[in-house]
Amino acid sequence: MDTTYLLLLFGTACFATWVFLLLFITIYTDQKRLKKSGHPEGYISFLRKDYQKRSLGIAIGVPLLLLAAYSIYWLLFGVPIAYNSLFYIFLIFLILVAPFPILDIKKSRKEYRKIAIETDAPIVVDLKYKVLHKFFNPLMEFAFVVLFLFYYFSVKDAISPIVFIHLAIPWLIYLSARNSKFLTKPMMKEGYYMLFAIISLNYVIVMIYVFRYGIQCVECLTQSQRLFSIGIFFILLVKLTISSYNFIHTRKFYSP
Amino acid sequence: MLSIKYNSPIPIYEQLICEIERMLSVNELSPGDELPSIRSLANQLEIANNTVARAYLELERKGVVISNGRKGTFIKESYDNSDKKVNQKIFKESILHLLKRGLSESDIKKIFDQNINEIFK
Repeated sequence: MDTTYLLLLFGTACFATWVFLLLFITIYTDQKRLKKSGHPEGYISFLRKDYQKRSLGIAIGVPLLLLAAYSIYWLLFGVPIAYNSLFYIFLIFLILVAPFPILDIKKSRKEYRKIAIETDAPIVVDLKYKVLHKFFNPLMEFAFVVLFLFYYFSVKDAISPIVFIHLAIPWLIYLSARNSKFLTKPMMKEGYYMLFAIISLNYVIVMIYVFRYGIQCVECLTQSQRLFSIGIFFILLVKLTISSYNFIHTRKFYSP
Repeated sequence: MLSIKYNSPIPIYEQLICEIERMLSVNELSPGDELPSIRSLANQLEIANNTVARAYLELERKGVVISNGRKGTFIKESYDNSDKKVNQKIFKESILHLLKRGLSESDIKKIFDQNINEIFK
């Protein structure tokens, strides 16, 4: 892989992130929308500022950290030459990013507590994460990751390890959701909606990887490997369908 | 979803009791369901462990939950959350409360009639 291609990929990703964030902030922080979602009065101005600050941080921080990850990789292993190098760059990126969400959770927890006491808004708790587990059952997800590991090693070198980044993201988001506190009902609802969207998107990407691999390597696969690929694809499809169905049925928990 | 208010004049442990009973009445919780451990719920709500323990103890006394030692706290299997039973229970508790305050049977009947007339007038 040449550096120009990588830089082009990086530039496109940054541009796409910025466009997405701009659209996201405009829609998400719209006062009318926040009011309609049922956010308590005192929260609206706080949330608008908070989302804007956060999005600005992502827009500036993510490209810088990606560049830092690229530089670290370059210093350690030289110029990235294979598509798989992206996996290691992303891995370094995730290590660099890790402290920020942890700090953010701690900081926002304090702010949410302060505003909850100031505005006297009711705080909701998902008892034993029952609602969250309706669309992300950790036991099932863990079983799937183990199965996928078997699959990956049975077809080694054919499928990119980047797929593991997409399998790790749902877990990172799930763990951060478990750590969030002092949320009002609309905030929890929006948080879970976002979480479901990100989880689903990552699983769709994994499905694309498996499908693309299956199509590309149909000739070089043995009968059992072919069946395994089809099995993994269908498990993902079924899992996505079940979690979507369960997610739709969680709406009653957010009703006022 | 369990909901509480930090600044409410109602003590947090009472809010917890009411919320768990509400969740049972709307089938968000059902008999046999496990409740979070005292420590984990206290940690989630950032309140004292004793507050949650007090709420669970009160719920156990009311016959809503059963504590199985290290296994955790569960909603009683025999708990009947049908409206009729719940209404009867609330009514019975109010009568017992008035009896504890030293009122006689006739006094309670009188108060009951007065209130019924006042409300449905």
